[in-house]
Amino acid sequence: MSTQTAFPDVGRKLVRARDDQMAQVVALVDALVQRGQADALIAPLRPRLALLAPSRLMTVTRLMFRPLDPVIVPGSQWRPGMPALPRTALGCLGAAVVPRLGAAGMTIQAMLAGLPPGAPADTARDAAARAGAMLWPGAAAVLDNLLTPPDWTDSTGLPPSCFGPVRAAAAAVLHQAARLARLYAGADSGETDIAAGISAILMDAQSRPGGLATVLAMLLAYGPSAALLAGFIPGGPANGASPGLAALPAGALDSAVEQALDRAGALVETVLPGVALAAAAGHARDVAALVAALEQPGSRPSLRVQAGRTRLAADQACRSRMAQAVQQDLMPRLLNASNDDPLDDAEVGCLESVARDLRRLGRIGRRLGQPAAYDTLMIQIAKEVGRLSAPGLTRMDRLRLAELLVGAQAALRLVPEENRT
Amino acid sequence: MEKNSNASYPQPATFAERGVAMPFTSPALTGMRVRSGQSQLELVLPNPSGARGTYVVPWAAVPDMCQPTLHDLRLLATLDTRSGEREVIGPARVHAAARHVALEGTAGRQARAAAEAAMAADKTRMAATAQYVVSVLAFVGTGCPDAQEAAALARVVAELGIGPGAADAPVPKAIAALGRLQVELLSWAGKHPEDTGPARLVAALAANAAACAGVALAAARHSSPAALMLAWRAGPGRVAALATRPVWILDGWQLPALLWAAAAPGSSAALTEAAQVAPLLPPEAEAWTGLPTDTAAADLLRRVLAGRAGDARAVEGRGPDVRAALASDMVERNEQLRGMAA
Repeated sequence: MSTQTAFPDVGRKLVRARDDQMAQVVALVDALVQRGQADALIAPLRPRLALLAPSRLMTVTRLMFRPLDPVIVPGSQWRPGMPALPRTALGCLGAAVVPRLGAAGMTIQAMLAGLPPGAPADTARDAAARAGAMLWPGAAAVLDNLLTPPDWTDSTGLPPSCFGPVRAAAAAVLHQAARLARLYAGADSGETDIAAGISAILMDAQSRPGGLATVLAMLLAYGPSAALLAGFIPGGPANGASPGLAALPAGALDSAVEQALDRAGALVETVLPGVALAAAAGHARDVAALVAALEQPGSRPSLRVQAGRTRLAADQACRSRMAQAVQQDLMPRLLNASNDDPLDDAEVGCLESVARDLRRLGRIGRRLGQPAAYDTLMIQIAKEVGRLSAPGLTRMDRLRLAELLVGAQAALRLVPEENRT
Repeated sequence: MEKNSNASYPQPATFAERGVAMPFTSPALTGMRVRSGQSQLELVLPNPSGARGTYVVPWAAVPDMCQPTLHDLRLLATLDTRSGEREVIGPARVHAAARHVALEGTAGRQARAAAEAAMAADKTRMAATAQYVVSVLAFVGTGCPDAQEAAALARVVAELGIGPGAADAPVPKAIAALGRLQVELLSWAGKHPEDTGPARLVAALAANAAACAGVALAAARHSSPAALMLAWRAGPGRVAALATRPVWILDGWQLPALLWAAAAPGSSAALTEAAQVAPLLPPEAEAWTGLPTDTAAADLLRRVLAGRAGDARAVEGRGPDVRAALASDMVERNEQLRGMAA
């Protein structure tokens, strides 16, 4: 069954829905006993849902599979051998694992129960991180020894032969979940030696039976690790294996790369247009790092072609998202100030955030498309902001916004002096 | 950039030679100090490798060595404009320039609001202190100073925490803040025995600075407010010079304290950065206060930390766009720190 035939327009509209509208639809689907086609309807929104996760009810099963989010695919798209998990298997695996967690499971359940659905994002994230750190190693250990659940085929629609690879993939990622979380957090703050982090993850993953390709797909889904992963692949695009790291099997790598590219394509198509500008920059960064790694001279030609296509699409998506932000988030509020009172501090703070995020996205765009085109675009935006003449807008407001867009020296050139007459 | 090869100490021997901490928001300029050079102002920065010695950057070369923020360009221009006077540049002049630039809004609305609030509080405190000065001088029978002299003396008295608004006076407040910083860092270090190098280093330096500033403050205050004011009337230059000593000793501590206050609890990056920018006292502090300034151990630890940070930077191995993005985040963080500073 395809979503397109059952709901010809709804799926397309949902992709561009606002976060609050999307949340309402998801809450309705979450409440259904039999989700069926409705689940397929919201499948393209999953990456955006991950960003809204704190406002959704957190269950042990949902927390257990959170680290796997980049490699979870709709059941209809999953195929044996794919380094991914079918979403349709999560409920069954969760139902089998959670009761086997023992006292730790009860503790985690209690921790999550103390977290109201509307808790502030920071509180929810911290609580989930603490509970997750307790949950993931134990869940991985349970999965290592889990036999095929009796209801496997009934609940997933998959034959029993698929259970082993799915179980191994989930266990492999969960064994690395704590290391992955440290890698992501440390890389974002510039505190972590990313190469050492990747090396530790791969060495441990290689020492376990199965699931290596899924771990690789996880690393490829995250920009900073994707950019460096090529260096760990003997004979791969950038050569230069890490000492002590056994050669990564080509099959595992190929399937991980294909999975990562498919995900990147979906991110570009369905996520970038709808998420907040800062989140869009984060996704664009991941996609840019992946395609840059795959376009190295040593890569397989077919992968280079697919990476090139994704690059073009991502470039286009970045420019569209920037234009959208200027039209929707920046200019209306600036123009509004000219007709009314001066902008208050909170409004200026919001506008400066938009300007910062535009520059972030512009920097990523430079890596995806023509750098000069993005430079020109940023200068155009800064010029437009700088030339706005409005009683509610001071020259310093315009200078600051222009500085955030193009830097101080350029801003001083672009923003005219006040008319002193 | 020329290396200061004449340095016989790991850092300059006097406060004037060390320069005044600059509240720059550009990451490339973090930790730089300004001092009066032969013909123009100079920026002084610690050797980035962590080795001994300092680097001196001519004032005019700063816009070419990095991409300064609007705030920093204005700060440089403001200080440069005011540097025509031949007096040695000190913390008070940098503070005034920084506030002037913050009031313009170049570091954002939050920093501007903080500067406005601080200026209003200063104004109230100064008015009350000026009245206090006049009343004390009248009481001791030295006659009534003119408005200009009363204002100049009030600035010194208010700075040192004498008279009305003493609790909010900059020097005693800064000393108390250093004491709190030391306690917090040692408490954190006690709970995290695995990673206490930077925390213990900053705590030790803070304790040393607080002790020296305390001694200098006591000397500057004289035996009583009346004694201070009588000394001023006899020779304002010496009293003013004594009053600047605790300010020089405390100079540069705002950034490490703000880094610690603003960071996530126990962030190792914040602690490392705080250790890198925590000021070392020059030997002149010992001459001023009689207290030892054990800079050798601190300098050794500092070099270890600088090496650690250098390793981390080298490992990053990231492209120019990524580095630019990180720098942009740092500017935002630094502007937030300016908003937290009074």
